[in-house]
Amino acid sequence: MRRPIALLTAVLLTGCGLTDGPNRTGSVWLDSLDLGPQGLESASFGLRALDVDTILDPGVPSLNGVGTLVLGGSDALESTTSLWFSPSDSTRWVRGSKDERGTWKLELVLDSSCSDPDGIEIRMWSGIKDTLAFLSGISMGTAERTVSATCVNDSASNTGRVRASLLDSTRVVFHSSQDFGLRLVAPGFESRQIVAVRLVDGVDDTLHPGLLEGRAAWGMRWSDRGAGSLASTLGWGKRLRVRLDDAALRQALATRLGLPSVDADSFDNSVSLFSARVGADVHVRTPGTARRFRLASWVIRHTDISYASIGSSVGWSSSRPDDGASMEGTLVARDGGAGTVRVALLSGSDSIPFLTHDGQIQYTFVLLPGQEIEAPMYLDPGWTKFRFLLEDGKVRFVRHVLAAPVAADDQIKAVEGGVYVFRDEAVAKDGVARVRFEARTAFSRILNRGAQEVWTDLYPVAVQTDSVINDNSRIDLGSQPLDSVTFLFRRRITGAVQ
Amino acid sequence: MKTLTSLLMILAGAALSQSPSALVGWGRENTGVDGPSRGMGDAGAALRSDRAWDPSLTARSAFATLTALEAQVVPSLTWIEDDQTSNTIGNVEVPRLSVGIPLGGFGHLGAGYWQRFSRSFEYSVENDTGYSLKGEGGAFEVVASYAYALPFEQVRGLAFGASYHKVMGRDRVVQQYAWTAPDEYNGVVRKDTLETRRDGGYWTLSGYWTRGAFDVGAWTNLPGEIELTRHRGANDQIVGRDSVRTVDAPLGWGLAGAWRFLPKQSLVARVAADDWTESVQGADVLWSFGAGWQWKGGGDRYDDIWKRSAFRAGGLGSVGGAGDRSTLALTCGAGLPMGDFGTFDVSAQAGRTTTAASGEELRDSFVRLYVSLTGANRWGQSQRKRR
Repeated sequence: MRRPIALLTAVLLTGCGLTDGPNRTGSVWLDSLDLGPQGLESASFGLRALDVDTILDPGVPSLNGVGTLVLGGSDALESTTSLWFSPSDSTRWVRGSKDERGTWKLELVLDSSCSDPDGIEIRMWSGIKDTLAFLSGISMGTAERTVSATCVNDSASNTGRVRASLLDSTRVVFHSSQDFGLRLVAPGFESRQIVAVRLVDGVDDTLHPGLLEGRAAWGMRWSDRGAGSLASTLGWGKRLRVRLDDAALRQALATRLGLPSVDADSFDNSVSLFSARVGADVHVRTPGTARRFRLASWVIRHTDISYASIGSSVGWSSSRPDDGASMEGTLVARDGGAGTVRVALLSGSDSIPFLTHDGQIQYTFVLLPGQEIEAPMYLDPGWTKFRFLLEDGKVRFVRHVLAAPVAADDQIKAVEGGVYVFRDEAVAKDGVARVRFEARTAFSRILNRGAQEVWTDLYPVAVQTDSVINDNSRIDLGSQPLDSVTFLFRRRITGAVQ
Repeated sequence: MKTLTSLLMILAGAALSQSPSALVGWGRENTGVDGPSRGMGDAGAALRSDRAWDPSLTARSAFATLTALEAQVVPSLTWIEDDQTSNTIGNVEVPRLSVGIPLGGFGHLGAGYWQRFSRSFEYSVENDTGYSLKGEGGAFEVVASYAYALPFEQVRGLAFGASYHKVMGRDRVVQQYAWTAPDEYNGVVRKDTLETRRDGGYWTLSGYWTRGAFDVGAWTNLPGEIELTRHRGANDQIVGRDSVRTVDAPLGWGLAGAWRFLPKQSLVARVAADDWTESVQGADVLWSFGAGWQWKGGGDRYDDIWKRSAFRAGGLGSVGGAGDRSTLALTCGAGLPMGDFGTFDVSAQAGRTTTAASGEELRDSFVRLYVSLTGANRWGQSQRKRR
């Protein structure tokens, strides 16, 4: 038996020795069967958006006292900052004299100097019965008093300070120990973080904001302002949700390649995209700010919807049959007062955590009448997206089951010393009003969409690796935010393998 | 066990690739003949034997007297040529494993694994290191057979057989592009796969007659169906659902004969046709033929090994089928007795296969060395009776 094995070994080793290495023969033959390597082709196409919507960045609204307290807004976003004071709570006083003779002032310390000192309005209501609704930004009707304020820069500490005299109103409420609330509205004031807030009089008496549910009684509400603009502020951001004319794009590619058109409800796998550089005109409004942009996309496999009336709970479940993923739980919609609802999701006896826009973990959030939010989860399984809408006294809980996860292309040109260097043409900055950013993944999905819905979001991100963009920028993109795309692509093999 | 381990290591270490012509049809086809037939132009299906088993002409096994276990291994070298370039590649395959059990007066049971099709190949482009095209896997058949020799004196030497061919297996063609833009740090890899799973079966009926110096056999396939499931994959896009279609199993027939014209010498011949027209789009009938000669010695274990060995030569050819293929090859071989282990057959086949699909030719000139180990013994009989 040893002899045959030795013979076989010798033969096999001989064969290995005579082999040339990787086979590179057969190009002509493979080409004739349309199975050979396809050349890299380039083509540019105009883009038409069927629908452009400006939406708030995903994230549940912060509960009172959670996240970042902000004053101001932008061309795209408007903030309402609510502060609630409880003179009867002795723990919020430094001295507690409730001096009725003093001239009480609101003092805010900002994290940086103000570029525009004016445009700050302070509205006051006393006798607030529903504190949670007030802090959530629910309208309280006409304010009892409205005063204007200005910001003064402190050159020594490079911070801004806002002081507003509240005059007689505070005397009355202090005398009766009534709770009262202040709303700060400053749409023309470039947003700044409030790092300290208090009420002071002239004789060293100080009142801090009250407490609600063990947290500071302040709240933020962000609302859309001005369609067609992107923004990323300290508190929240706004992005474009675009639905491009995929049928026209597929047809243009097919015409370019001389291929038959693909049915509208079929997946189109006729090309591989190696690059998709998208052109967009942008206007960065914040001097000295550099921004790069992302076009992120995801594919909706199907959508499940559950409804819960205020004050009720309802079971829900979603699954993705392709890989057996599934999740289920209970939607709890508790009455938050003044038409609001407190939403929580339970899975068994555990609450499912959500993420706020600025990365805080919350297990519940307040939804206002008519408000719709996307709610990323801390424990996102990666195959669903949640949306919540409060309408007609019911919470509509929408679960988009994804066929492909959210993906966006980076714009990295090099890595130097562990720091990313981004492609120059993808970065918008002073004097650069046009960017061309890479969006191959998004376009691969848009071209491939078949019967499934593709969502595409356009949003700015930091040039460096900051997790939070710590300033305010604005980009006007108009109704056709993406004016053209240049593809580098290869046709996929179409030869028949039986 | 050591021997088996050594063999497996050798197989694992060998290159497993073939010509891109394996893209055509269901892949490169291996015949399923036994080890001795490899040296006789694949034409020894009808030559009466005490141990051999053929997946098509199973009726012959009714006259087998030994329980036999056969394994074939085929190292090969192939020179691939087109009009511009050429290349040499090595390959190893295991085309066949079989077992045959004679049941005395109750006939013969046989079973085998036949790696009938191989999609294995590799192809890359000289000036584009980011591109590769390769194939792997293939369709195989698991065959179970029964043969029975009629016990009546009037029809002595006449046997019939039936075999069921379970067709299964999957192959995959993978095309990959890697590319990095000049102004990007991270590259892109696009990988497309096309996987085909086959599942089906068909019956083969055969008849065999041996009388004096002549052996003749014939077989035919009965209509069968094979389900083809096609799965596309892409790492950058979503693909549609798997497509499933059913095709006919290749409807084939064949004739084989042997003439033992001298006590130690035989001539064999074989012709067969497999109709692929309803199985593979654009395919024709595959005609295959072969003829060979064998000198087979005798004597006991104390004689010189060469006097007890068998020597063979032959030629084979085929034309048609999928991809307009044609093959011509010369064969030679030897069968060495290994005492109680059985026989060790070594056969060489040298020839050329031309694949002319779409008018362009791809020429595969090959040298294959079929190494076949056949363990044969008389199960159920005492040592004394065996002697």
